[in-house]
Amino acid sequence: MKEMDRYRGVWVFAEWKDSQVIKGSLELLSLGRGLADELQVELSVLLMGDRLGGIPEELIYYGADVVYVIENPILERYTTSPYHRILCDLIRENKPEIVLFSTTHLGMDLAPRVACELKTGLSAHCVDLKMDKENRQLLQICPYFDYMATIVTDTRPQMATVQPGITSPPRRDDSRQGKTVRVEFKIEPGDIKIVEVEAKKEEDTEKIEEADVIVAVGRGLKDMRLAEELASVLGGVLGATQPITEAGLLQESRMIGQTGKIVQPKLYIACGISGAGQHIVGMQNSGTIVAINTDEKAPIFKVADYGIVGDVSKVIPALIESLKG
Amino acid sequence: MNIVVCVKQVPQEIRINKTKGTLIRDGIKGVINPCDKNAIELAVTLKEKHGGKITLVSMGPKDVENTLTHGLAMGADQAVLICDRVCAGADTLATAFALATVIKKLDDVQLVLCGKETADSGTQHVGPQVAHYLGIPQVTYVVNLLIEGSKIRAKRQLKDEYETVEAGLPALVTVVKGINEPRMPTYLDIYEASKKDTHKWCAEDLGLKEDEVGIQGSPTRITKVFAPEAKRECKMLRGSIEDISSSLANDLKSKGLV
Ligand SMILES: Cc1cc2nc3c(=O)[nH]c(=O)nc-3n(C[C@H](O)[C@H](O)[C@H](O)COP(=O)(O)OP(=O)(O)OC[C@H]3O[C@@H](n4cnc5c(N)ncnc54)[C@H](O)[C@@H]3O)c2cc1C
Repeated sequence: MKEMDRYRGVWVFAEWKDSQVIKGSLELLSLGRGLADELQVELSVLLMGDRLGGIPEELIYYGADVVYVIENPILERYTTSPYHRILCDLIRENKPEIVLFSTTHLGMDLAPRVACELKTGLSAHCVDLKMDKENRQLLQICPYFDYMATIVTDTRPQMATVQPGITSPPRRDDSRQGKTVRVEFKIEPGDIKIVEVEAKKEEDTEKIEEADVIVAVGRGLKDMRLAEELASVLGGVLGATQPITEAGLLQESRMIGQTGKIVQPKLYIACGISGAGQHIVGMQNSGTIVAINTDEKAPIFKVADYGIVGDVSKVIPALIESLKG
Repeated sequence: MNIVVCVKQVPQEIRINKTKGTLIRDGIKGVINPCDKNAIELAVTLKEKHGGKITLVSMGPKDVENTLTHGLAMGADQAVLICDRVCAGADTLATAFALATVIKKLDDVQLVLCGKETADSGTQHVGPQVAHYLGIPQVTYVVNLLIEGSKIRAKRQLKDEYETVEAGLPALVTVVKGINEPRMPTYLDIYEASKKDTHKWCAEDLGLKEDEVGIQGSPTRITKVFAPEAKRECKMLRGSIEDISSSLANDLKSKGLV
């Protein structure tokens, strides 16, 4: 038997906040369930923390076959070294073939270090996962500028961090059965001590994540006032691509995409936005998407419901007129 | 206290070869990855306060040497460039291994600084992986850093909160852009920088084996680059601008979106 064939099963690393599994982790359960069914293996979830209450059962209701639970006061808040230690030991012992993380600050701190110790591959910001069933190889699809790239790993386990918001959480079914495995570890506090945690004060009072209408500005729009006027006619708010916020034209809190926010308004109007993969992951699940761009080949049209090939500085004023009329 | 800053050269402008889907590097100026400049700036301010020596460590083709000059002009003392054909095509794991190998060879390194992510691939992996190879703690997403004796005190910028942590030295820190404003070197700084040393080391100098670096040392591979599939049926609106906008306005109104 090849060493690689000793690895079986799909694992998801679950994060929680205020006694609830975070949405990104639930989305991983959707993806993980699909992969596990295709490979005909179990879906296991790894849960670490303290006073976890009913979270293990919840994870089963959301599709886990097995939940490994490690509960300890040292794990109440994440620090790298204890989490890293436990995860590496459990992976070595149980040999899953796939381990998924959500692209969160925690996931991005933990996953690379674990992959490094296990000398295995890790992909970042995946927006889709597919299976090459014959080779049991995970096809990890990531944004690559205006394109997408498929990444594979030749070692095991295959590890990926997945972008939140690319799928929906699974349906909760409280009749589902599964197994909870409590694992005891001798846990050392590690080399990092948390001394203070303070909530961020949002200077921006408009939350783009909650808006029904977003007028999103890209490098193709020169006059910010046009976008403001369109947003005000539609009762919406302004969003932006990374180059716009980096140039200081709008606050960073308005950035949409991989580095910015994931939004899902009822109406999204992309003004002079090319549609790079890193931007698209943040807005593709919006209700109705309108794209205005001079380049008819711009990738943004592939995710749009309405496309207008034209100069956004001429289209917006006309659209404002029509909306008012 | 000696400080290392890991630096990557990225193309100043991202352009894609539309048929092959690969990044065009030829003919495009290489610059220091934006948040690596913040890491260099932090190193220089720490040096001003605590003394020590700053070494830039990078991996890439020969011309990275010119890019590193900018970092030397900002105030770093020397640079090491891992420059070897066998190192090409490295993924994050192989890159981190090569960088860590260099850092281990330098004297008394107490602090390793990296930018949070690179502008061309943006995985955020290399910092934590270098830390692992060095066997030291990592503190990521840092917006404020103080050195207090043999410890650091770092403020991490997370999603909804700031977390302040303490860690013993040596440690590795990844910084976010907001931490500072990188200085612009003067002509005199650039002139002075040209007198500083950039050591070019090949894999053999570092005792790196072929299967530890480059493509061979990389567990991940890109198998395909492709244009994203159309996710929706896009209705292209044609005609005069007035016709287009009134038909769009009508559709949006009938959908109850306006
Ligand atoms: C690690 C990493 C993370 C990233 N994270 C994000 C992120 O979270 N969010 C994000 O947005 N980006 C992100 N990016 C950047 C992303 O790759 C793109 O560079 C960015 O989204 C492009 O912004 P843009 O569409 O405004 O600009 P461009 O790509 O320059 O597009 C401008 C568009 O405007 C069109 N145009 C020009 N003139 C006109 C006109 N008069 N009328 C109409 N159209 C016109 C052009 O045809 C073009 O399509 C990230 C990149 C990396 C490497």
